[in-house]
Amino acid sequence: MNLQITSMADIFVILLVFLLKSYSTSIVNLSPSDTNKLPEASVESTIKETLKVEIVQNSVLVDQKEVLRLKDFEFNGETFVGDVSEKLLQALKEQRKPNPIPNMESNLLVMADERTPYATLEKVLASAAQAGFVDLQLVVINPE
Amino acid sequence: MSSVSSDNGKNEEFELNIVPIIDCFTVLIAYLLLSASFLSLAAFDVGVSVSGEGAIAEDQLKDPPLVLTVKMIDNKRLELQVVGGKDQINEKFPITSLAGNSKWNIPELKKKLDELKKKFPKIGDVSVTADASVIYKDIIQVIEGVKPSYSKVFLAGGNENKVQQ
Repeated sequence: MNLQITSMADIFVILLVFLLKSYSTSIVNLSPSDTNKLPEASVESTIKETLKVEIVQNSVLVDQKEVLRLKDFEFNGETFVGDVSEKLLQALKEQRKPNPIPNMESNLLVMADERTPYATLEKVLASAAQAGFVDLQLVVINPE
Repeated sequence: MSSVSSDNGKNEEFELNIVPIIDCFTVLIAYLLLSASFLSLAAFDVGVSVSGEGAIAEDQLKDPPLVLTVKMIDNKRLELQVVGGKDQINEKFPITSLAGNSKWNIPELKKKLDELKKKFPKIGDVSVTADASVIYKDIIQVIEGVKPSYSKVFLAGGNENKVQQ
């Protein structure tokens, strides 16, 4: 019995062409974490590759490294000066070091779960602003 | 199928073995499927405004800018506040919720923003702030409603001088 694999080869070629076309080689990994449910909104603006801060249910991540712990999207036992977290501020300032001085980069990608309360978001943004990141890109899922 | 002439003039037929090609394709496709992202992502460009003590420029003292603040209050209510300007304006425009406190009244918000744009053409910045329990999904919904009227939107990023309780 001869197995006809010519048809399979055709299918594979088409699949491969499609996947190669959508393959991205960007420096920043824009895929949200598994547990991160981004809000939906119709917006035309494209995303610029820059430092990423992610707010998920149990942590705040800077460039995919956990910096602060959360409990159900709320801070639990973290210390703040006003609304600014020293840990988060230091982590964001560390990200500037590899770049040449003076580093005037002010863009920040924020990928927050849609269930994040404003109280948590406010503190993360205050820390980011203190570190000089005042131009935010709030990442959403474009349903179109 | 192609044929090749050999030295003694006889044609030899051979078949292309595509099994190794299928092997390569299988590996490549498996890798690309695992690394593919099928989400269409986009982003809102917003700024951060942080309140706190600081020096105010002299020209701003003489002619303070006109700022529109969109406050998101619990129970899905909105309040628009216009503050500033030479005439020291301080006006509030409440917007009630839809469907018995269950939905934000975004159509009314858009309508009100267009009216304010005509009434106060000097409004430069729009600041969005919310009560502590308002979720991010709703904030995005409101920003989506504000953006068509005012492209420059700021999210209030807390108070650096607030005393931590």
